[in-house]
Amino acid sequence: MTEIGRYAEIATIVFAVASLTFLGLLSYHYYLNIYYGTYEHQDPTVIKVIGKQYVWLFQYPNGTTVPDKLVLQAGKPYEILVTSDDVIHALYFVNLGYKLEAIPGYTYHMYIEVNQPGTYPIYCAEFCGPGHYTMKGILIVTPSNSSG
Amino acid sequence: MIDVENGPKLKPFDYVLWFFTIMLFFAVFMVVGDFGNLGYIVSSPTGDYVQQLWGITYFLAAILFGVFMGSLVYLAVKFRAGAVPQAVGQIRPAQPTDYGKVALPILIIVGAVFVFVMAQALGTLGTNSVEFIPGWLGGLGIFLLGAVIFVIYKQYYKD
Repeated sequence: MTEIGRYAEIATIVFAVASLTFLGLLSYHYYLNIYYGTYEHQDPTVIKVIGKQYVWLFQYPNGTTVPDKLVLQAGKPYEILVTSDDVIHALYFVNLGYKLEAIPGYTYHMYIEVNQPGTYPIYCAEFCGPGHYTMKGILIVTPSNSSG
Repeated sequence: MIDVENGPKLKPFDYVLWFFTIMLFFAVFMVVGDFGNLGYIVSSPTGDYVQQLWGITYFLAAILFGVFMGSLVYLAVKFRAGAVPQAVGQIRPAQPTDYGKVALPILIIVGAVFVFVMAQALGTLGTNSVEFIPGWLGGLGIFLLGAVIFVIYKQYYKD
């Protein structure tokens, strides 16, 4: 191998290792922020989400259960507890970049905070039966000064 | 066998063209992916993390794509059969083909249109088309790239 070929090979390896290490450390830093830094100490409102064929049930802290419609306030932190009543589903907020499995017998949690008011779709991202494609909901984010 | 030590050497202008080819592939990759911008992501702390990580990943991928695809295409054209005297005995020199001169410009024009459409589609993503449209265009892109490679290949190896 020529001298320049050897340098090119070393440069390729160094570039790959450095890039992946940087991305890995940054991702881990963000992960820690999400689960231990940004939300946990802000006393988030807890909302329980139950997936069942073919509906998403959202249970608010006051006991109200609403099918296929989640209303949040912009700029306010929430903790979502996700589980399933029957088969495996996946709660998917496309516009937020969030997706979480809903598995019978298990409860998973994630934190949500949306800064931009609007209406966004909610999907099931795990094939859960013949009616899977109908399992849709909407997320309504109200401005922070409203009573929603 | 090509004699590497005594074979054709790259001139300074060749290095400039090589670099330009790499930059061209880098630029096309960035434009196709809307410069790593996820237009449909709504502002939220976690969404911002996703956007930032995706942007960095996409930029690094563009560098890799530019370097490897740019080098591959430039060096394949530069050292094609017929352009390297030592290889004449082993490989049939490049011959003009009937379809190549027609098909290649068409594919390049189609490619330019495709890049424009892809950029438009990614820039104005609707919520229902987030996964379908890019997948559809991505499939077309792979097909287009395959067609370009096929035409270039057939230009040099007619059999």
